[in-house]
Formats: sequence, C-alpha cells, structure tokens
Amino acid sequence: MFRLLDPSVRGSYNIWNTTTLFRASWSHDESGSVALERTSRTGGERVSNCLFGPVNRTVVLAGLCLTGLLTGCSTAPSYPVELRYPARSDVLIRQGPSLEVRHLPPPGKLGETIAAAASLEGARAYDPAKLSDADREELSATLVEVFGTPALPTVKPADAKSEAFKLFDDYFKEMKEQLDISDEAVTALRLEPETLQRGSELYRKHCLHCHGLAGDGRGPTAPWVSPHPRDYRKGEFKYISTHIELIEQNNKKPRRADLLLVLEKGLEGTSMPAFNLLPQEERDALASYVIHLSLRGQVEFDTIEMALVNRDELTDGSVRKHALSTAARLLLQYAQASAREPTPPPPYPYKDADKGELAASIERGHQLFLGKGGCISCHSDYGRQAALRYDNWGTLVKPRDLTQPIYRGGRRPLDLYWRLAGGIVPSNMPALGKIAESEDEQKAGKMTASEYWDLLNFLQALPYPAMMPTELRDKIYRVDEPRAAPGKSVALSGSQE
Amino acid sequence: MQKGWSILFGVVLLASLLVWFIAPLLGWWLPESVSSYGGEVDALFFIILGFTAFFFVLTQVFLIWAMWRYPAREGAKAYYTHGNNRLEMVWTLVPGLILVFIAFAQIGVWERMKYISRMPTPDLTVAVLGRQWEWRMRYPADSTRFQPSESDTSAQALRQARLWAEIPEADDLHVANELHVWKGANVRVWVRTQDVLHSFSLPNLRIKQDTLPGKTIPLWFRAEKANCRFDVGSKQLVELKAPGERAWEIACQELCGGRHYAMRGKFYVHESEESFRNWLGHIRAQQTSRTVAQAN
Repeated sequence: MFRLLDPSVRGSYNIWNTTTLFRASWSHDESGSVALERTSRTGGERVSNCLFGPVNRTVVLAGLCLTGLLTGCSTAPSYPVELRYPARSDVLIRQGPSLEVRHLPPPGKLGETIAAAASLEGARAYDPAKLSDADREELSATLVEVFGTPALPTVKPADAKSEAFKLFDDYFKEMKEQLDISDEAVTALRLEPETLQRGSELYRKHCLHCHGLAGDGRGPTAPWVSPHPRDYRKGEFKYISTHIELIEQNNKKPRRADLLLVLEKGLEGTSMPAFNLLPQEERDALASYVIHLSLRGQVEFDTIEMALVNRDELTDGSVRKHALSTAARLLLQYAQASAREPTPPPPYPYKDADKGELAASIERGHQLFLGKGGCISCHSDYGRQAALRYDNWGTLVKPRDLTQPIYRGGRRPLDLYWRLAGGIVPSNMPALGKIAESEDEQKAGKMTASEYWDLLNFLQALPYPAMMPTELRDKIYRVDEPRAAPGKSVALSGSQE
Repeated sequence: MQKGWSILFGVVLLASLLVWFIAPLLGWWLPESVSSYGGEVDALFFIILGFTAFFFVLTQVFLIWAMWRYPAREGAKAYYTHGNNRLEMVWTLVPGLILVFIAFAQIGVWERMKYISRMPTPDLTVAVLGRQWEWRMRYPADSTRFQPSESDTSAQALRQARLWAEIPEADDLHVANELHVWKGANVRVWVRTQDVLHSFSLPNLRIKQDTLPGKTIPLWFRAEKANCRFDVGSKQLVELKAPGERAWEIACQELCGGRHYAMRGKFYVHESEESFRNWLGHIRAQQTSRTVAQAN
C-alpha cells in the first residue's frame, strides 16, 4: 500500500488525522509534469467505535504501529543510491520569444507556458524527443559517468582507469592550458565528491521542493510561485559579479561568491528566502551542489542542441566526446570566473556630505536613464508600466518597477553597479559595459565613471521620493489634480430635478 | 482485560507525573526568561499550570478508581443516572469562578505588555516583516527619531513610527533573520506580514504577536541580560554563552505553510548600546559599500 523507498517517488508527505490516514506522494513523469498520487486508508472512525471490542484490538495495534513506521521512516538524509537524474524531456529554449506581453500566465502553468513559448515568434527551441535513441543512450551513459547520481554526485569521471576519465582529462588539460587557469582556481570551486554529497543531502532538504531534483526549477511548489524558481540546467544566472572582460569574452558564469551571497541574503521580492541561519559549511556545500547541477544540466542541454542542430560540429564527431569536452570547458569557465576578481567599480567622484552635488548627480542620472543609458525603453514609466518580456528560459519576466524599494539582486551600490555594467544576461537586460577610455568611446555611447555614479545615485533615490530634488520628484511622482465629483446625471438616484 | 484499562490509565497518569517532575531537570522547560516582564508572564503560567494539574490528577484518579471498582460483571446490569442539580452547579460554578479569577489576575500584565498607551518611550525602533519563510528586519538610520519631543507629542511620534514601519526609507538598514537590541533598551517592534498569518515570538522574552495581513502592530520589550557583543577589530559578533546554553531564538508560532519550521531567527542582545551602534555601523558600511573592499 505504501511505497517507502521507491526511487521514482520524489518526495512525500505523511498525513494523519483521526479519521483518515494517507500518504501523498508526487513524481515527475517523462514530460516533466507532476503527478500526485494518494493512497488512502479511511475507516479510522470505525476503529475508534470498536475500541473496546476484543475482535479489532489487533487492528488498533497494527494501525498504531503503522503510524509510527510511516512518520518515522521518511527522514533519510540522502537520496536512494539507485536513483538517477531524469533524462531531459522538456523543450530546450535557446532564446525566448521576442514578444511583449501584458499579463502573466495563470499560476500552476509553468511547464505549459514554457512549452507554448517554444513556438512563438522569435523563439529558438529544440525538442529533445527528436534525438535518436542511440544518441540519447550515449548521452545518458556519459552523463552518469561524469556527473554520477543524486546520491553520489561528481563533476568529472570518478574512475581513473576508465576511458571517459582519460578523454575528459585530455580535454581538460588542453583547455586549461589554453585559458591559463591554475589548479588552485579549480580546487577553490570545492567540487570534490564529499562536499557534493553533503550538498546533495542539504539540497534535498532545503531546495528541492522549488528547484527540482535535476535543478530544473520545477519542483512540486515551482508552478505556484512567481517569479518562477531558477532552472540551473542552462548554466545561466542573473546576479553575477563576474569580471566584465570575461562576460565580453562570453564567459557568463557566476562567481562562486555570487551563489553564496544569494544563499546568505536571499532574493528580496522573490520566493527565495535568506539561508543565513545555515552554518557557512552547509552553504558552501549547497553552492557546490548548485554548480554541479548547473554543469550537468548545461552539458546535457548543449550536447542535445548540437546533436539536433549541427551534428557535424560535435567534438570529434561523437555525442559522448562532445559531452565530455563540454563538461571540461564549463568546469574551467566556472574556475576562471571565480578566480578572477569581480569588476571593480570606478571610484566615487563626489563628496558624501555635499547634498547639492548629490542632487545635481541625481538630475544627471535621470537624464541618462531617459537617454544614453536607454533604461526607459524597457522600464517604461520608470518600470511602473513595463511590459512583460521573455527571458532565456522561455518564461515571462517584468522589467523591474524601479519606484519600488525592492532590489532583487542586492541593494548595495556595488550590486547595482555590477548589474548595470554586466547586464542581467539571462533576462536580456543589456550591459552598459566598460568605462569609456577616450572621448570617441564616450561619443560612441560608452559610460564614463561619473556617468555610472550619476545613474546609480538616481536609481538609489528613485524609490524614495524624499531623496529626490523637488522638481524631479514632481515630474516622476506627480499626483493628478483631484478628479471632479461625478456628475449628477449619473442615473443612480433616479431623481428628475 | 477487565481491570486492564484501569491499570493502563494509571500507568499513563504516573508517567505524566514523572515527566512533569523530571522535565525541568532535563532542560525540557521554558527557555531562560530575560525580559523585564518575563517573571510576571511566568507567574501567570504557573498559576494556570497549577489549576490544570490539580484537576487533571483529580479527574484521572476518579476515572481510574471507577474503572477498577466497576468493571463489567456477569449478570450485573449497568445503572444509569442523570439530573443532579447540586452536582451540575458545582462543576459549572467552580470552573466559572476559576476563569473569572484568571481573567482578573492577568489583566494588569496584559495592560503593561500590550497596550500602546502603556508602552515606554522607545530607545530603539525596529520594523519586522514576516513572509514565507523568513523574517526581514529594518532599522531606522537614527533609532531615536521616534521618541516624543517638545515639538512632537507622543501621538505624533507614534503616527510617524507606524508610517515608517509601513513605508521604507532610503537610509534604513536591512537584516534578514537576525534581531539585534541592547541590554536595558526599551525596544519597540512593529510587526507586519507580506503574505499569510505568522506569529512573531521571542520565547526568551515571553512575547508573542500574531502578524495579520494588512495590519502594522506594535509590541515592546526590554531585555535584561546580554548574549553578545560586537568586536570592532575583527568585525565579528562574539557570543557570550555559557557552555551548553541554547541560542536565543525568534520563532514563528503560527503554522504558516510547509516550511513553517524553518521560519526562525537569531535574537541578539548586545551588552551595551555602544556595541549595538558598532554593529549597526558595520551593517551600514556593508549596505552602502561602493567598493569590494568596503563590502567585507
């Protein structure tokens, strides 16, 4: 009646009250949707009515024992050993549709919305079902070799004698030399199996219910929260401090410190809470495991995409080798991003105490917001009337309403600078880029150091009307003239003069 | 099994009494009270515990005796009775009088704890926002600004504080899941919720306040014992804890969803106002950091 250790059961509740005793469990089917099943046992009422009857005493005792068993057995910290990461079956969105939309989809429809987005104008999407059976098996086997299972996660082939290990190692060493990355940079990512195992246990407890077993952002609660939880399988993250030169060289991986900061502070304005009550060691393990999930997901994504779209360009013509070389490349990208210092903001050009200077800077920032920065084109009416757009996951996001004092990616001027300079890659917020070094560059649209700070000062004042110069405040927060009282002709009273 | 039930109930009663007496020795008891009014709350708790314990033992003993004395017997017919006015008056009036007594006994403590007009002038004001599943604290840049002054009556100060608790300001300082105060400070906390019902509670202070959607509710406390100080040199919080002593906590005491259990926080009482100010300065420096060096 009850499946306690069935590997296909992703999570379960024991629900017990006086009249019913049932266990609800959920599992993902092949299409990624969630199936909920409920095995129930009713008849508690009958049990209590015959409490004094000699015949049913065994029933009562059995019921009590069963209750004890059920409530006590579901606390195993790690995943069952035989459990595998599910093969990706949902649509791969490389690029979201290029449409503007006014309304969010109804809650509970996350998977459907993404599937529908795949066929909309401007989207680039691929169906993994089109992969040949041979390719799919080859890919699944390689993924298990490299990334292990949820209970024993790894980021490179574990068996040093295997062919996969040698292949991976060759790619890894070659690229490591090309990119000039040190061994320390790789070890600093803390992706050793012990940390990943710890991370996997903690992830199961704290994160799975939103972010899903494979890090697909589709755990049981995911369809019901807005914004939707992050799908790590694309290897893209929103709030990163990665050096802008790396971003321009197309390494858009987050720094390990960025993942840790999100864990520590949470994301204001989203359902992601702060995990600062967890000890540092646990947060470290979680960040490592998130990197693992993201590596695994992206290797799968990139390999399926390449096999479907451009078979000729698969590394050495094989799905297996492509997956192995991609795994090595992405791992090195993470190491490279984390080892490099974050983009340093330009020095603050103004005196802190000078109120007049600040007011003038805010005014200039406003002009930049409307003009050179190009912010207003998406954040219409300072974000209050912004249209929804598709991000790289095929889900709808709203350019922030900047008049609200909620800073998702952190409220430090530092965080805001990184957001402006590097952009928000997956939601297609453009990067303002490096600081102009010459007048020509400046004319070509690059920001100067002081312009950056003007824009930042404006953005920090915008949600707080009291911080703004009066004229600007009236312009942005103008209250309309009180509307005239409704005319007497409104046919509510029914009077006839 | 004729007299078995009686024995079973007797064992349960004895076990309850045993647990009752050894619980404090094992540390299964109320957390340490550090609040100015904690003693009064505990006194009320003990009065009520006394009443309930007395009647629990009384009724259980009667039950066990009755089950022992009158088990089912071959040929014996059950005797039914109902309608005894004197008995019914007794078991209605006695609990009634006890309830009236409790109502009057608690009213003074309730007034001192919960009435806005009885709350002392705040030395520190904090806004707390609960949401699924965390507490977000917000401190004003100048914590003394909601104190009444010559130009500002207490009613006006109260209005301003409530307004501030609802509308954040630019220089507010934000901290997740940690409430910091200092020893001896009269603290005013304004609690709100962003989503469902929560209950903000500090077990060490014996205070608990439900957060209701749409309402901004004040509460106050004064902690009389410290558990930490901020070390300026290392920029670290040093906990002043006896070995084995439990951390002081914030707990949500209203079932608010699947991860209700995770909705906790840490409660820090600094040993001096200076230590608290240093900590707040550190938070300010982090929150306003314009360089990577400042952020650490």
